Amino acid sequence: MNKDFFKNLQQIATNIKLTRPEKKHFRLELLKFMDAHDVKNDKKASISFEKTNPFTWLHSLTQNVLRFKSAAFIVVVVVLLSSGAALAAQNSLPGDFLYPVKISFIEKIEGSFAVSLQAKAEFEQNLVERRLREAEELATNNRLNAQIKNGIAMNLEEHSTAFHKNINQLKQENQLQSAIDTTSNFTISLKVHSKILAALEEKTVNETRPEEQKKENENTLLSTYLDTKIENLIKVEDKVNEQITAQTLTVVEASALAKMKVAAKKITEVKKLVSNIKTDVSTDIKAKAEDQLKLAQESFDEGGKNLESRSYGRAFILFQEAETQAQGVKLILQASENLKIQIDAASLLNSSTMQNTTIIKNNFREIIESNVTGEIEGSSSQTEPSTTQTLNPEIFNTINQIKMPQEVDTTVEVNTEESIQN
Amino acid sequence: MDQPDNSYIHKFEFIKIYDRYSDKIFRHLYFKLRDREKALDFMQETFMKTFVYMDKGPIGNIQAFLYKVANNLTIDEYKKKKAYSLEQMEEEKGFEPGIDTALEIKNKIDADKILEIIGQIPPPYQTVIIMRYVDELSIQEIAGILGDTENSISVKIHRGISHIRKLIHNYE
Repeated sequence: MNKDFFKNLQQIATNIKLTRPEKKHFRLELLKFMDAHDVKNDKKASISFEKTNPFTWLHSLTQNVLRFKSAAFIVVVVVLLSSGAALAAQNSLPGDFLYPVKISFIEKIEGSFAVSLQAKAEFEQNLVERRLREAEELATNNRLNAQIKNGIAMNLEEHSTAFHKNINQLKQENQLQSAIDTTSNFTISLKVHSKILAALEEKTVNETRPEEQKKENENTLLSTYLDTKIENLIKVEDKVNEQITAQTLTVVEASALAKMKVAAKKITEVKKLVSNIKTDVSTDIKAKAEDQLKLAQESFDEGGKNLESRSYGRAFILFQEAETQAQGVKLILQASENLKIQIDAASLLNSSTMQNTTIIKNNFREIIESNVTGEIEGSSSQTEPSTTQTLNPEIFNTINQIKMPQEVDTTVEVNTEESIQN
Repeated sequence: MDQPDNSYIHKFEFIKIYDRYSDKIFRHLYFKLRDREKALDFMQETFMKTFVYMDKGPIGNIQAFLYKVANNLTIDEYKKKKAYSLEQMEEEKGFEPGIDTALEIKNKIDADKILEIIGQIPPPYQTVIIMRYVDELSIQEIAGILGDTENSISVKIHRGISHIRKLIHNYE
């Protein structure tokens, strides 16, 4: 009975929402309210420059005119752009009479020349940077008030959204390197502007009278706004980086990395064991265990170096050795604790290394052979194409160089195989 | 959970907040007031008040703030309606889903009954029940909004549920 009630309640709940006309209506009311609220506070209400300037006819003219990209039209545009009035408009700042011409007309025309996705993204970036330079110039002349900042921020929002859209399309078309280069350029540029604006805005705040200072709280700082944009860009960069990494990862590299994780885990585990050794364990065993652990760590570190120099095959072997050596230590300690028997530590350690080396060789050979028949995916153009191909001969050379220690008589049987097979 | 901790107050940004939360706030108010028109008005007022507050200083958790404002508005309303006369009971409009939502409930009568039951839960329990089962907020979130401990919220929810049980029993 109760369950029915709550189930029905949730069903009703999903049916209760704003209708589309309702949502639109109240949205409009809210916008009007926000405008009116600004007026009450002696700020001039303004949504955007485009809607309140006397050049709105230019805006609609532009929309129509851009549809006809004939050669004649382009000539006309170029002539127009190089005329004196256009030049004046091009250098205008927010608040100037000709500024709307710059925003609605000139910049739109400039935008139409950007063809490739990357060019489009860079164009949006340029516009953002232009807005920021305008803001900086205004700030230096103390002409940057809240209303103008509002307008600038709106325009910034428009162009940074367009920028992100273009980057997303680049990502979808798998032009990941372009996406990341463009994004990181933008991030760097924004960081610089953010610092400049922060300094300028601080100066402005210090120079205004105390009452005005209270109004100028952190909410209206452009530098704060920029900082959030920068954070978003960094997130985009990181995501693209992940994608690039995933794409360039070959099977062999993946195996080496996986093995590294396993070895690292094992070494950490064993290190803990060694540090917790009880006092009744013979010092001989303890010393041998620590030495072996050191060896394991060295193998691991060398594996890491090989990984960095992209010798994935050798790295894999080294990580495997590291894991095995660590496991050997563990078993010694366990055996000595459980059995409390004096074990010939040296002989035991040697024999365990020998057994495992054979199995390493077999495992690795399988991986390589399965890769040789298929195509070893060369990564994208930035990596040297020869890297993966030269892995094969290198691996087999390395495998053949592994020395097989002499067979040694052991007094106690120790199981070593379960650690190797992952 | 991507909570925009937006301290850059901006008309442009605030409209996005409206786009994101208007349905939720409306739904919450609808269940509290059980009157679509009133819920719409209160929803609008919630956002307007929030905008005015935001002008004075940054707000941390916007969702929590919106629910707080909405809730406070309904408390005032409840105080006005304290004398729950028979007349007012007749005025209760029942289930009003709005023009373009498909009615999936088999029986409108069932929906009306459920709303009535919700309406009869005493206010402090009513609020947490709505927040938990309609707004689907976590206990932690509810505690944050109402300024209570998570424990007392759990207790209130349980008490609300037992009220519901009693009310259902009365309807049988």
